[in-house]
Amino acid sequence: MQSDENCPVMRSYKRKEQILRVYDYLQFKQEYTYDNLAENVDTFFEICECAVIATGVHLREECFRLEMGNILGPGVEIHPWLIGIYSDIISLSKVQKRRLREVPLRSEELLADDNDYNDYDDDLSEKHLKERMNSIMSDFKKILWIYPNVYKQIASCVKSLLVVSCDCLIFANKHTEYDCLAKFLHLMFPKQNLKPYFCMDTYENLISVARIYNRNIWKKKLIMLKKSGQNYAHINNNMSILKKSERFLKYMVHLIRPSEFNKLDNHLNNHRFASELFWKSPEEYAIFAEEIQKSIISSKLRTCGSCEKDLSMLGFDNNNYNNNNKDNAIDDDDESIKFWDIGKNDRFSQCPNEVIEEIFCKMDESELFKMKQVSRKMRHFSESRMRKMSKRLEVTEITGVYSIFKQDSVFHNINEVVFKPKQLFNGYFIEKFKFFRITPNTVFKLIESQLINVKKLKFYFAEFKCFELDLSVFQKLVNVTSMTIYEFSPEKIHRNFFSFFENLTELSIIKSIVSIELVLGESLRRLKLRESQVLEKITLKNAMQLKSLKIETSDINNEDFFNNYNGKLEEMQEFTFKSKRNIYFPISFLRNMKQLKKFILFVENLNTENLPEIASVENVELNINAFEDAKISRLVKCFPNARKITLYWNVGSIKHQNLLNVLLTFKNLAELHVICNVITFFGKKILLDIANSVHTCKKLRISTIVLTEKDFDEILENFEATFASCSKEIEMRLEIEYFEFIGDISYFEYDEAKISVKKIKRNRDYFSTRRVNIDLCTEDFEESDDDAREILKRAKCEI
Amino acid sequence: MSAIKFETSDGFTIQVERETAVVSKVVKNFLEYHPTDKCTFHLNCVDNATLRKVVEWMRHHKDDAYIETESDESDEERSQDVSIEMDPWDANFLNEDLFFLLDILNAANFMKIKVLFKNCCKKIYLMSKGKSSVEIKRLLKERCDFTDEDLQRIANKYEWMARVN
Repeated sequence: MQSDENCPVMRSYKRKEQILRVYDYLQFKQEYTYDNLAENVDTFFEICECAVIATGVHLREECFRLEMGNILGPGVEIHPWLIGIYSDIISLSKVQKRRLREVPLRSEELLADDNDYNDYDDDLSEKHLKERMNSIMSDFKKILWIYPNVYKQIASCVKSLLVVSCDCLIFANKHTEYDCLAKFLHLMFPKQNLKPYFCMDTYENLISVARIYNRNIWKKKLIMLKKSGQNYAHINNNMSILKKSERFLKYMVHLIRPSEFNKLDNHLNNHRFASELFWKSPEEYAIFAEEIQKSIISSKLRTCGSCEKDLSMLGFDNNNYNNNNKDNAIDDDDESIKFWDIGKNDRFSQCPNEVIEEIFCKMDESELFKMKQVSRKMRHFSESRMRKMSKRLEVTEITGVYSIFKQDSVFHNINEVVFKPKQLFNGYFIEKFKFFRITPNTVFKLIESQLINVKKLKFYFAEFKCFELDLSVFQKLVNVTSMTIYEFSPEKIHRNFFSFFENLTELSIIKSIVSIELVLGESLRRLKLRESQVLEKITLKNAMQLKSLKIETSDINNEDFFNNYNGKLEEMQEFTFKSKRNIYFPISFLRNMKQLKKFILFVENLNTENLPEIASVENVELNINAFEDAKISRLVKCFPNARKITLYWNVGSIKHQNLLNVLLTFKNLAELHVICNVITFFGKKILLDIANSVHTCKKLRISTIVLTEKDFDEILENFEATFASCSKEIEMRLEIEYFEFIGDISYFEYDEAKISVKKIKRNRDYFSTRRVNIDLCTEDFEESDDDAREILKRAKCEI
Repeated sequence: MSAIKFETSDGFTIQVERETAVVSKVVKNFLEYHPTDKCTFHLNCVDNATLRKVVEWMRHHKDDAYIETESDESDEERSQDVSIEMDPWDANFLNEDLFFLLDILNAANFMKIKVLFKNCCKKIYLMSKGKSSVEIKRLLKERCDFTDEDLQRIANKYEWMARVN
């Protein structure tokens, strides 16, 4: 007769009983969970018929334990019967914790209470917490390589539990959330060593991944990598275990050979920032590991001569980046001149180095790449030049840690960092976009040595889970002078975020919403606020020194801003206020701006009482929708020394005598531009009158929507008459802009000495009151930003 | 009027008026420390044709205020100067093949004529601009580098072809 120990049925029965006894607590608190558990236990204590364990009959649970042992550290106990109920247990422990928070335990009691649970630690220093996290996560090292997503979930959860200190009275001493939950789990289910960090479906995922991995590694035929130095040719065909990643249902499991784990670990730990990343951002740490794995695969494939290279993450074309590239100058088929050896004896290469360097200085990146392939010497010069070039680092939603690390080592002069997603959905009308994979903090940490060179920072449509920068990063970003924020609404941003950048002189906040008060630094000279509801939240540390302020707003809560800074912006040279709605704008705001040179105002209506005279203004652009002769003339009168005036004629009013009288008194007026939105005759009549009257102008520009041959003749006739009546011998220029020309387009030829006539075709938007919006979008992107411009073009078409 | 003589690598001597010669920083510096009416500069790496071309350029620009021969640029300054705009006369003047341009460039470098040097660089850059690496390689191969002996040897080898014709 078999003893109890050897009989699997008896063994199973005893174990089942033991386990269910431990979870008795569940029976009273959550009966349905207990029922599930009981079912699970039954399943796992059946006899298994697999051939993994050769020593006789075994239970499924034993088989499972063996599988888990292969990928997890010895300290982690995974109980298969907890599948589907683990998250219930965790949430139950949280509920119990809330109920029992009034019961204090002292640490001595805690330790005396149960020797099994002795993880409790009251040292909350960062170093110590980091060590704790390290020791916890060391159990899941293999998971990092097999299925980084699970690792990511576990690590984030561990960190979030470790960094939060708990203020409950359960432990009398200082403790973390982790200890608290672990203790509760232990009190509820003694001797089970349940871990509080398996949140949501992590537990199930972990088990699934482990099973997939084990079944494929151990139970299927293994394809072993031959040792280095031997033939690798078969790798391409057979797929190495290292390379092989397979999708099993929803899991993309990397089937890594057991002996490779150590190599991968070493590779990862060799990177200086890996440990820091592990603590600061476990998710990015997992991303980094994944990228390293990919890069190792691609380098292995390169070694064995495969053309397949995963270099896209480095931002290079395959042709352009190849370390093993032989000098291909000699490979050229054209061998008509055999004595010639480019790269050694050609005349260009024989020039002194400084000569070649001078020529290479003119080349841009793509040209340097081409030169790189000409010869070895050219490659040397191209590469050294490329290192010196100022670079713009673009971070997109697909950028990973490794690619930045790689760029950092290739390019040594990053002076601009841009966060901009590649895919904009429906142009700039974004419905949904992905979060960036890595946070700005990590990006800056990775290029830490180059931060001192960074002068420009741009965040386009950037959405991060967290937007916090370390003090050390701020300290190194001292040379940032320009920052643009576009469609960026950071949830967590420090009040003094912008003032930390000591040398920030230019700031643009566009279409962004910030919920807290912002303090802008002392060096700020140019500020653009467009469609951003931040005006009332802004505090200027050094308003006196601000030289340019551009406000484009549809926000009505501006009163506080204007009241706070009324008369304070003394050094202002350029002031723009554009609003689309009837928004409060006190013109008296300009009162103390003695240095003001350029003033642009787009408003619905304006109170023109008590206007100040601003003699310094030379360039004025006025677009007042409710246009009245009396009002506009009073307003224009404020700028007696204007050299250039642009007026939008928005209504069909024929009264314009006051304005003409004012303009006639302007001695310095050299350029007048009238944009007429009205197609009626009155509008053109006004234009003609203005053209007739203002004699000091050297350049007149008339913009009208519809232009006919007759109009053109009339304008020209008047212009000539004006010119003839001028006593001075001056050159005059007339520019006529139109959207639609009625008549023969070739009719437009005109050539006479001293008068030059230029016709410019404009699009319909140019004349529209919506011009404000259109300007807004096009100006927001840099000229070099071709992608964005293309997208905007498309978006405009859609409008 | 004092004149400066230049002796080229192929044995020719060219006489150049002093105000033209001082466009070259080398000449200017020398004359500042050794004031003399007559002197000869041996240009070991500049041949007759190249020097004539360079002198023609110097004559044209001798009165230009912007032809300053001073100051060596730092690496950073050089990096910032990426404009490829050129005086139209210079652009036309430098319409030569790559190898002659390289000769002029080397001469300008040797004689320290900064503006000519920069313009040659721009011109060479413009030649390579928009070309693929293969095209650039071809560009560098254009000139025949056979020595007279090589040519003679080839001619002897294919002499029978000439006879057949």
